[in-house]
Amino acid sequence: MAMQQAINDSLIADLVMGCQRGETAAVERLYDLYADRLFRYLLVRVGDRDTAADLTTELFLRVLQHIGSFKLNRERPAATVSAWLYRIAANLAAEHHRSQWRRPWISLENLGLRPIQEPGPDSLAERHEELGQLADAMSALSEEQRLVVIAKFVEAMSNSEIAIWMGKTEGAIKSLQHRALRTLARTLRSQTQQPRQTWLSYARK
Amino acid sequence: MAQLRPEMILADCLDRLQSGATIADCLARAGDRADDLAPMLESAAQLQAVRRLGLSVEERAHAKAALRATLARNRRNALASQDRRQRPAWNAWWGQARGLALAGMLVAILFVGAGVTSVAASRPGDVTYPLRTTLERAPALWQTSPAGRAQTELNVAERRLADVTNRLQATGQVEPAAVNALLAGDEAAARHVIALPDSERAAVSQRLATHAETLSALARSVAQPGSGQTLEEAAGRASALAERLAAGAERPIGSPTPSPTPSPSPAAAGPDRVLPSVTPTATAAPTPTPAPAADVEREPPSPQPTPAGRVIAPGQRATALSQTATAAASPSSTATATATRAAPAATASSPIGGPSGTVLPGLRATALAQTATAQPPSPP
Repeated sequence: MAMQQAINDSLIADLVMGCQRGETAAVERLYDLYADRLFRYLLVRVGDRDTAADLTTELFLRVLQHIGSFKLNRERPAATVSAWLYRIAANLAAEHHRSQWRRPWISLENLGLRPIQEPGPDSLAERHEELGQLADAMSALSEEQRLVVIAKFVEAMSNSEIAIWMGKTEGAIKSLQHRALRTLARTLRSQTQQPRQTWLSYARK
Repeated sequence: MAQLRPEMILADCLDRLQSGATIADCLARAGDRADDLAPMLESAAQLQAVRRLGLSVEERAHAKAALRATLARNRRNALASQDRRQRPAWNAWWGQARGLALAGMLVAILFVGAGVTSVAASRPGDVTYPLRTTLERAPALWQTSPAGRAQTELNVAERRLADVTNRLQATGQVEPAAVNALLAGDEAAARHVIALPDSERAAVSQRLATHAETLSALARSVAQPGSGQTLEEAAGRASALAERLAAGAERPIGSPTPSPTPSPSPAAAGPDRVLPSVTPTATAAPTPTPAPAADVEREPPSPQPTPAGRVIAPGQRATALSQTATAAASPSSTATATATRAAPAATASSPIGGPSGTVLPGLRATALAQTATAQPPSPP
């Protein structure tokens, strides 16, 4: 139960109320609890580490902006807060993709030039490339499928935990998981057979 | 395993992977489904690689600094909005206070307006009439020249004379307040022009004489004896003022004059000491006759007819005329002049008069009245 090891309902309820009162300690504690999880979600969505880090900060700034009007579900405070945070993250990722679509850029490969690799070990450049392909592939999934695969493989949650978190049955989670991985695999395979997506791929998202 | 549904097979493989198994192990157990599972497991493994990534310490510090700055800004905004919320309350209080103040001012203006209207429209006999007579003399205060002040006072006095006339014609009664205001205006006018050239004094004197004539005429037309007496006295005072101005009196008119003692002492009376047997009924008749001091001094001690035609014996004159002064409505120039007549003996012994008996015309009445009042009674 990696997702909820340090998270319990009473703690989350206290933190939310502290954030609503503007307490710095509560805000920082909430950040410590969720920042890495949301960063990984955003990293998988946008495929760029720096962008994901910036979006994570932006996410918590939005939390501060809207925490005053946030209605906490007293029966499931942790699940309510988690769902709210991931919804904000999904919105940020979507906004990022839209802004990338508006910004015209052309892949170096499409221009027939070899990309200039970032300085550093080759693995870093390869990792960057892999993250980009993974982010593109994740864009082909529905939001539920994305959440399931991220919870399962990135956050190492069990199917039962994911079922509780998302309010679904365990069978539904397995089904979502299967469809998501199949789509993901198909998309990744197609990416390896053709050059990296151009801005047109973002336009399709 | 081949009979299991694909998602169940995948879930089983994923559980094995999470337990530490390799992809090859999982595919070996998948049988004919291995080809389908392979890309999915590779995708899962690719996602699991992300599990190791996280924010750096610097990124966390940067993010927390941004959060703290936002919190501080939110606090400032909250304080500002709190001020804005409090300000309307203060504004509401001020609005109410301002409303009350405006209402109070409106009420005050209405009251003042009604009061001014009431005063301006007041007639003799009204409660506000004395206030009107006082306020109407105010313009004389901002006249710069004595002649201008005198003219203003005379104009106001003539309004009072008109008030007296109208009141008399309407009700047959004399309003003492109007008569007093008339005489006050006349005295003030005379006081203002006393030091001016003869021509200006003569003009004022003429108007004062006109007042006196009008008052005398009114007195003769009045049926009620009390009212007639008041008017006669007023006419006498106005006439005295006119004569004094015409003669160029040296004593400032309207200067404080001690009122004659109602009952002169025997010492003041001197040889003309009043006998106790004299009845006070003889003093009921008014003595409005203004007596210039010089005339009084030359006057022989002979019986004089009163305006009522009565004759008073020389020994009775002091008491009779003093009592006349007492009976007068106001102890002013008429009573003073009367007291002057009443004490010829006192004049001789007065230090003011001097051995030669020459007394300044303007001072004689006052001096003699003071003598009559201040001298202690001597034993008979």
